[in-house]
Amino acid sequence: MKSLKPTGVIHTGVGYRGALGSWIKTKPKDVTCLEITAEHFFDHNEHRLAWLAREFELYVHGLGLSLGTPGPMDLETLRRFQRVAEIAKPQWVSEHIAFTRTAGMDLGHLNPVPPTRAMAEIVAAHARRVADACQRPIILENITSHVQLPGDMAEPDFLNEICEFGDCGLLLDVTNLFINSRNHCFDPIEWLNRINPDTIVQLHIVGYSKDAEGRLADDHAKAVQPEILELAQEVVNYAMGLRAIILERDMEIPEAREMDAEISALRRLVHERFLADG
Amino acid sequence: MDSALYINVLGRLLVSGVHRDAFAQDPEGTLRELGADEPVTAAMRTIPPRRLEEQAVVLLRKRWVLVAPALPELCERLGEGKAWELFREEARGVWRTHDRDTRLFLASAMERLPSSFATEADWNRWQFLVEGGILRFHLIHAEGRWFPWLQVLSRNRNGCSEMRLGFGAEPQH
Repeated sequence: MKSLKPTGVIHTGVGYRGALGSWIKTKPKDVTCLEITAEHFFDHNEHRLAWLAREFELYVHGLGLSLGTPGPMDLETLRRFQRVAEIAKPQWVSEHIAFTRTAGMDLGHLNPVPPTRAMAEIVAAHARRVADACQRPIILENITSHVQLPGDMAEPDFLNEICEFGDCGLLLDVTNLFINSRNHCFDPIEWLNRINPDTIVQLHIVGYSKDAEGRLADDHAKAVQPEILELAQEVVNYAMGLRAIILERDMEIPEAREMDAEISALRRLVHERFLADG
Repeated sequence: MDSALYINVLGRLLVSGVHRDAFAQDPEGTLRELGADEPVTAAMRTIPPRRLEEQAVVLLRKRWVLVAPALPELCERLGEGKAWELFREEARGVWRTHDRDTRLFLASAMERLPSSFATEADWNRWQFLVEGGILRFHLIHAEGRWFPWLQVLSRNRNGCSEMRLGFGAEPQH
């Protein structure tokens, strides 16, 4: 990826949510960046967004561009996404490797796409389109899914191809990787070692939940567990192009003290890496 | 393989419990019925129906996250688990917009719940949410009161707002 070179600095921060607003205003010491969800600012809250952009390094993350839907993109959603990027002035924008709509329906959530060469080309072309529209680099996120679709290649190779075809980076969701590895019985380190280490620009981290049948779920409601931090450390040490780590939390948002502790744990991942690098 | 066709067929399976049940019984027949050609059928027939169902439940959960806050009393009285189960049972077979999701689930829940489940005022409010309209008045005869309350329901962006007017002892708001 040509457009996002490592800077030697790895920021830590959180996904901005209204419920975290008062804590964020206190400028917690280890929060050096924020990720905002583009859809939360579609056609409103522009003043708040401009304030956030003045106070923090921002990244704009999308949920609904549906890069995995073949055919033309939804231009209205792209226009609104572009407007948010224009105000937020992020270093990069991001979206998911997924589809949320088909030709006739909006499914309302992220769904997996088959890991095929044709699909890699579709996602990559759409990613380029978004990057061009926003005039910023784009990075793409691996999702969690209960269903593993058959295809031409393994998931890491699929991600590498998309990054290569789309000239984009990877937003590696460590929790999604952990959840998929448990639910679909594979080794996450082996998976990681097949990913091009230069492509990983940003990480997402949050705790996982467990359903009644013991399957793991990504509901953004739990504190980060030690096993997630352990995997995250492996990723941080491996990812040569890493520039930011974002803590996600949408539900059961804890008190400020606990949020501080969660962010400090992410900061320690970075310290450990620099110690290991000497 | 036609990627657009693949995504369309997968989308139709994910939003319809009826199609998923049929897929579990006869994958190839169901895929053909959904318009899949030979390459798409070959690519999709080995998807485990159980995993497909689990992915569909994730989508249902996302719908529920939008529906539940619009019906706080119903959810509280049923309990989170029971309310979700009722929704899941009713909604898994159909796909609809958020507004219709709330209204049609509520209509179905009202048919299935005993009249003792809620007060007369609650039933009136839920009926108003289901049927639409801008303004509605109800007289409510409460136990131990000489005069009935007047329940005024009006439509707003979040569903409806309610005012109760009455003489004598303090009316509830």
